[in-house]
Amino acid sequence: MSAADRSQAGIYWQSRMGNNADGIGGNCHRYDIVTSDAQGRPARGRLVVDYGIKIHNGGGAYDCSFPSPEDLFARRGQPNPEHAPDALLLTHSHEDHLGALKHAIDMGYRLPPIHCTPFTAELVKKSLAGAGIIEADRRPEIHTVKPGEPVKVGGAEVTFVPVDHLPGASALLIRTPEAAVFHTGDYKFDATMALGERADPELLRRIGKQGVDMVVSDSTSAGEERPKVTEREIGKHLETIIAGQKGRAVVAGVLGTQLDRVVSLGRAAKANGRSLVVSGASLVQNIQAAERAGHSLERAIGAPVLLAKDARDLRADKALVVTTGAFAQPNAGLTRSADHLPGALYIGRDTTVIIPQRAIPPVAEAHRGMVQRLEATGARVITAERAVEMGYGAIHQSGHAIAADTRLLYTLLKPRHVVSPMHGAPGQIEANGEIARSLGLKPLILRENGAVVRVNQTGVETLGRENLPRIGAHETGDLKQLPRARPGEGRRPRPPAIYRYDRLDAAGEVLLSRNVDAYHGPARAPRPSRDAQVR
Amino acid sequence: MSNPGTRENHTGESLSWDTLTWQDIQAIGMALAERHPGENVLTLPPNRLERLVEDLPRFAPEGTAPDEFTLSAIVTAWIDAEEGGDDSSPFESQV
Repeated sequence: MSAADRSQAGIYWQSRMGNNADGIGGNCHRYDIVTSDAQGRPARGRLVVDYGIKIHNGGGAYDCSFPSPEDLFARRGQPNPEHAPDALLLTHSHEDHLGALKHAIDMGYRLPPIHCTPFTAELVKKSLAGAGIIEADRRPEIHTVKPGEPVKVGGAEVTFVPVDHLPGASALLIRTPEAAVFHTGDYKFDATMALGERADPELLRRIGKQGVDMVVSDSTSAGEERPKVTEREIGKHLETIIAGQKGRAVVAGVLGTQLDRVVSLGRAAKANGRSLVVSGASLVQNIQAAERAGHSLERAIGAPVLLAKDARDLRADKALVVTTGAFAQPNAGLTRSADHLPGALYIGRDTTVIIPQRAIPPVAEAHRGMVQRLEATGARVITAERAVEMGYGAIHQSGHAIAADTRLLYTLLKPRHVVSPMHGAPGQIEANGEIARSLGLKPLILRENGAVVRVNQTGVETLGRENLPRIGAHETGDLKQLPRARPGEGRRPRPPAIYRYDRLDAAGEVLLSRNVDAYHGPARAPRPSRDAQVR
Repeated sequence: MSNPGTRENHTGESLSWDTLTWQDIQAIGMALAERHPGENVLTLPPNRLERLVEDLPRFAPEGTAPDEFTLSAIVTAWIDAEEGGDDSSPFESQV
């Protein structure tokens, strides 16, 4: 279909990917802002919201896919084309919202200035540095924003509105004289989370009173009609579990991004006279990034956070060691212990392992195997599923809005025209739409990505759908030779991977195979196979 | 063609492979991990990090101060060197 007409004043929203008929991931949205100046002449701006990857699982041709940067960003070294956006707004720091930045840069694109909260900014830097993107001329400008304070960008006034998901997570209020759109990003309501700003129902009510035309809304857990479990309740359950492990070593396996869960574990440790010890690169890096962004875990816990190297003299029954591995990923602390790898944390018959995170389907098999290997050491293992069965209560909760949260958001915002559910499988999107209907709101359910929706004073109209290519990325096995790194150095940690990029259509079929604008920088010898690395 | 035992800095000046500059992020991270095992990377102020790098025996300042991105990347590399490399899960965002 040809490009939709975006000439009238209004806000034009298009989900490029992540309005998921084909699974969660690759979130990216384009907002075109068309206003008229005092003389009635049109003024145009463009914003891109999030640029994430979708992880492919199950041995397909690609490791991940993401929206094609080809008609989204400008190429490096070339003048700005008409379609170059004014800014890239990032709602939060998960890879399905920012993981494609490094790929676009490697493909030769220049990212527009990024606007995000300080923790997200730290994670952008970490993501780019981890991909070997360290040269100043390849990096984007990063502007950190203060939650709740409007910034003028691309012809709109944009407010990063705090939500509860992870530190710095924000919804976006995009307001122009013609319209206002509230884009939730990933969100839930949990006033007991410790790090960052909390979602503020009063602020949301005020935003609603000022007028919101359309809510573009996270659907991930919208279909879950169940009582909410708060992070504080999870902390209390963890405290009870740890209280029952007197005289034993306790190791908890989390994901490196679950910093609020680390705070809950730290508080539970403190209540039981144990010191919190953290171990694992991604976990320590995220804690460090949080510190830099002003979200101090030590302050939230009220006790020191020790690195493993500083806790060698600590008695095992006086520590709670938090490490990585809740998803049984290779090289994580729990996985290394289960596999008895050199340098791994000792886990044995006097150890209790707590995994306060449910295993999701793509990792279920690996998770089951890891738990079996941990139990084979004689350790007691309490997973999130078992904690409920054992009567401790929930020690995990989804990071996304359940039905009650979704109702609360719509009740506070009272959108004038529509709610458009996105970020969810079709059933989740339907459930979100049903909640809107139950509140007398009109849902706008888009089955596919690419639809162009205009919002202005006359209402909301779907103008048509544009075919949007995506990129399939596959690790070639070659590794980047980092700029001026000494030969032989950088073997530990592993240098960044080089990817092959194919252009795919919206259904995932290959349109152009092999190295669409691939990285052409210096490379080094292929690394050993993954099996050789892990075992 | 450059001597295999040397490389060039940003002004074309010849440097030994043993010399570290601000761009040698992974090598600096590993050198800091080896040389400062007692340092707490969680709470290290940027100015102290800058000083620790400049004090590395093989470090050759290039006249330009490192930006915040470079310092952040160095801490990431330092933690990688201490903690043993990437242990994240590609599925972390699906929780």
